[in-house]
Order: sequence, then C-alpha cells, then structure tokens
Amino acid sequence: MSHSDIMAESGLRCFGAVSASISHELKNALAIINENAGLLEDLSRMAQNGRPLAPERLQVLAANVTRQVRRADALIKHMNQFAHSVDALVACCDLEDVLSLAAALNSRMAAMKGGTLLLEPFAAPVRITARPFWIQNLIWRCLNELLERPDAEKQLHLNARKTPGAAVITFSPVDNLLTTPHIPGVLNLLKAVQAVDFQNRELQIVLPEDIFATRDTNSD
Amino acid sequence: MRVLLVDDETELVETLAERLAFRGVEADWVGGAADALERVKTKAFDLAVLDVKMPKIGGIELKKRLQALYPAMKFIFLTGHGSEEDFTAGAAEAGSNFYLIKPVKIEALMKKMNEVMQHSGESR
Repeated sequence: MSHSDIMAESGLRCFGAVSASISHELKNALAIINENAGLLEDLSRMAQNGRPLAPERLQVLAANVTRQVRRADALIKHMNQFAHSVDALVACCDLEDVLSLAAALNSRMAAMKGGTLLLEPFAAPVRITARPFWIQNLIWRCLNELLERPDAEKQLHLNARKTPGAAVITFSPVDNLLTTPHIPGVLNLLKAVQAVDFQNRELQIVLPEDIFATRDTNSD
Repeated sequence: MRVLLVDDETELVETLAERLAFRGVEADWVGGAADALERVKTKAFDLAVLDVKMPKIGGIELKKRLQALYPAMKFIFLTGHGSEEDFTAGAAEAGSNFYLIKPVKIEALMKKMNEVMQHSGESR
C-alpha cells in the first residue's frame, strides 16, 4: 500500500473521528452556556415579578458560563494544534507535547468507552524527528483498539522514554498482550515496531529517533 | 408530567430541570444510563429526555432498556449532531422521530414534550 493510500485510509479516519468528537464536545459546552443564559432570563423575569434574586445565584451562573467558555477555548486550541500537525512533513517532535495533545484529543473517545487517559510524567525529554500527524494517527489507532477491548482497564496510562537510537511510547496496563493492535500501515509509515512487556502489562511502540534517516525511498 | 433528563453533561440537565420546573414540569435528572435505570425503579416517569451519546450505554440503547421495563414511557432524544440529517439514521433505528439538536430552546423542548405525550404510538 502506498503512503497516499495509507493516509487516505488511516489519516482521514483519524481526522474525521477526532473532529467529530471535538465538535460534539463544543456543542455540549455551547448547550450549557445556552441553558445558563436561559436560566438568567428566567430568573430576571421572575425578579421583575417580585421574586427575590440573590447575587450569589448570579455569581454561580456567571462562573458556570466562564467555565464552559474556558472548556470551549481549550477544545478549539487542541483542535487547532491537531489541524496544524499535518503542516510539517518533517519536524522535531517533543513526545510529551504530542502525548499531551493526544490525551486531550482522545479523552472523550476514552470516556465513551468507559475509560480515562492519564499522561504519566516524563523522566526526561523525548524527541523524535517525524511528521507530527503520523504520530497522532498512530496513538489514535492504538487507543481506539485498546479501549475497545472488553477487558480494557478503566484508566490507561500513556508515557514515553528514550532508548539508544529510538523512542518508546508506552500504553499500560494492557491485558492480553498476545494480541497487539493491527496497524501495519501506520507502523510502516513511521518505521515503528510494536513490542510488549508482559511483566509491566505494557504495549510499546518503538520509533526510530529520525524516521527520515531510516525510511526507504521507494515506498511512495 | 414527570420527566427524567439523562445526560453525562450533568450541568446541562441540572439547569434544564430547574427551567422546566419554572414551567410546571416535574423534572428529575441523572448523569448516565446506569443511574437512569436505578432511578426508574423508585419513581415513575411519563417521559425520558435522553442524550444520544453517553459513556458506555448511549441514549438509543437506554431507550430500548427503559421501554422494555416501562412500555408506556415516551422518549425524546437530545443530540449534539450538527444537522438533523446526521441524526436521521440513529433516530430511525431507535424508532423515534422525536429529537432535538443541542443547544436546545426551552420553548422547543416544551413543545416537543407536549407533542410526544400526544403521539403515544409514534415513539414506540
């Protein structure tokens, strides 16, 4: 399969799913703002008819609106970062930033499947040279498959560490490591391989530090 | 009319319940399908307003479960989908034409609630 085919299949699916999830959450934030505005209207109308309106109540409603505006702002910021992840063909990616964005983008998807995502603190900075969107695509595919499993843990931990010449993204705890996510296309794009650590119940994605130094040139 | 509002966005249904109460509707709210299935054991409801996309058990599946327990209960769906067309397939699967797209106007919800209570056969 050519890179174009892989991007068409995997990349567009990822982009569509993440965009749909973000837009759904934005709708919810707007709906809550809308209800708080409506409640303010109701209360002010009742106040005009003689029912007392406590200032504390107004403060609570204002705080509700402010909280939802912040939520929507964060969603849009994440969506914008994700959209721009396709811009650079080659970029030095800080995996803590990449995983942090991935956790934010996929938190609703995880919640829909009854789970949560937790980004573990990094012991040291981990950087690789790759196309940022491909890494987001890889993480999305892994999360999608791992969280779909009936025996999936409620909380999935994400982390990354450096090894000589490579970086390792980890997902844990994962049971049934005899079966790993079936994602050959995107693994091939990143020249990555999957590994497992049964003792620590960890799925590992091993990525070369610079995929462009190891990529073959005729795969396009 | 006794209404149960179900949405994992609890701030939304809590506020909606208060606004419905101002309009003479007795509305309870819960934050998910599991809580809804518990609440109906202790209180009777004429109508449930369900969010379509909720963790673990979505609104369409919840409707099926509630309807199996309480055949007379009526349903309205709330959805965050961007267009009515997007929701048509899901609503058809659930056997209901009664749905509203978020953000919802309280007047539209009140109107839809009155409609659904009058069309007892359609929402089953």
